[in-house]
Amino acid sequence: MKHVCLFIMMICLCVSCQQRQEKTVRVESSAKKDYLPEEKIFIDRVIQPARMALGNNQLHISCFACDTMVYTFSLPDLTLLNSHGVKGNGPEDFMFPVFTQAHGNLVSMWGYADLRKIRQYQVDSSGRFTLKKEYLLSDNKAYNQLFTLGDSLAFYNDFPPNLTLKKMDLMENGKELKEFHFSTDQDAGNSFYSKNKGDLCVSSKGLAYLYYYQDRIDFFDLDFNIIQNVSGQSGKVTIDSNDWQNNLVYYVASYAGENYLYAIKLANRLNAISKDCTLEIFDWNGILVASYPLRSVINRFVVDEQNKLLYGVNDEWPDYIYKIKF
Amino acid sequence: MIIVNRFNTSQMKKYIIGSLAIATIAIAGWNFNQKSEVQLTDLALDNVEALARGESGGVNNKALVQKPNGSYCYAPLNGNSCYQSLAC
Repeated sequence: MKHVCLFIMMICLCVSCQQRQEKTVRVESSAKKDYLPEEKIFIDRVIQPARMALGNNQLHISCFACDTMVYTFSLPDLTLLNSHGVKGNGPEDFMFPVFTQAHGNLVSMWGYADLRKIRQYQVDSSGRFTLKKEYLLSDNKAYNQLFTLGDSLAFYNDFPPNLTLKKMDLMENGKELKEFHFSTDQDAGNSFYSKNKGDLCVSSKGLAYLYYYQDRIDFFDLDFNIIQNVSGQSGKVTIDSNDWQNNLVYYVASYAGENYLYAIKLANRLNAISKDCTLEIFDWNGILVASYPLRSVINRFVVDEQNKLLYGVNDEWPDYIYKIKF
Repeated sequence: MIIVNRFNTSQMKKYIIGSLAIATIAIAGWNFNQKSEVQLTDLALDNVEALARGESGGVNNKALVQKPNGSYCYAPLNGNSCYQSLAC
């Protein structure tokens, strides 16, 4: 009987200790994420940031739904310096302004009423844009995820309906030089729901294609020769077009820095209750050099590489610019 | 023999009372931990609900597409028709 009692006591103690241990581990795992500190800066303008670019200590933001479509802020204080551009059909007017490159005080833009047009501007310290060069592509069409590299090259994703990356010669009216095709799912019926759907990101050091439905990034050189596949997923990708919020999504935003590729990985369902994200930093050979958990989902962003500062937007709070030091 | 048995019975009672006391403490501790976890989860939910709200994809416009009438608009991330998009 004595042994029976001792046995009961031991069981009780074991159960008690085990429960405590489990809880400790669980709490530690949620508290373990050492989120980067975020600073939310209120922008005293009613804008819905659609695209962003950074150059010469200035942040440029375009707004598709605004009367005035391009805004320039000084950094790091985010004071509004200037705004310009209106929606319309005139030769100077925009349809949806998109930044294709920002380097120093030069900013290139696409998305005018004439979709063949790419313009390069010089931006002064007061945020005033002065036209420097204009390029005319051959077709008046949607050049999605368009990037330009100086005066010579342009890249875009021919999406939708194709998942094809294309390289163009800027000096010859966008003559197509090369392309790289991703297969689309036969049953998807829409390339938005294809497992190979992703975003193109381009720098002078190389290209990256960040998959939306896969934990995968492909790195290419400027001739679409594959350099590295970075993949962290082994399971089958399932996409439900009728219940899109329940799909597991991975790379939702990216920025091509001169030195590194910056990627925001959600790795969660859009309808997940608990949602944060990760900032991953790769060199252009596809080597992961850093990874930081972020408390807020950043939907688009730019990076000041010199000062290691991310300026981003969370669509939920469009009146704020998130400033994150990493 | 009887003395030994009586001694064993009283000793046994002590053990039973002792084990009951320990079991009570263990259950109380477990319940306390359970409550702590619920509080943490609630806090976490409060924090993340703000992030999840409004994640409709309508704002996160990704691709410029051409409508049948020739005009253009941005299709939202979810791939639904851009006729419904606010950006149009």
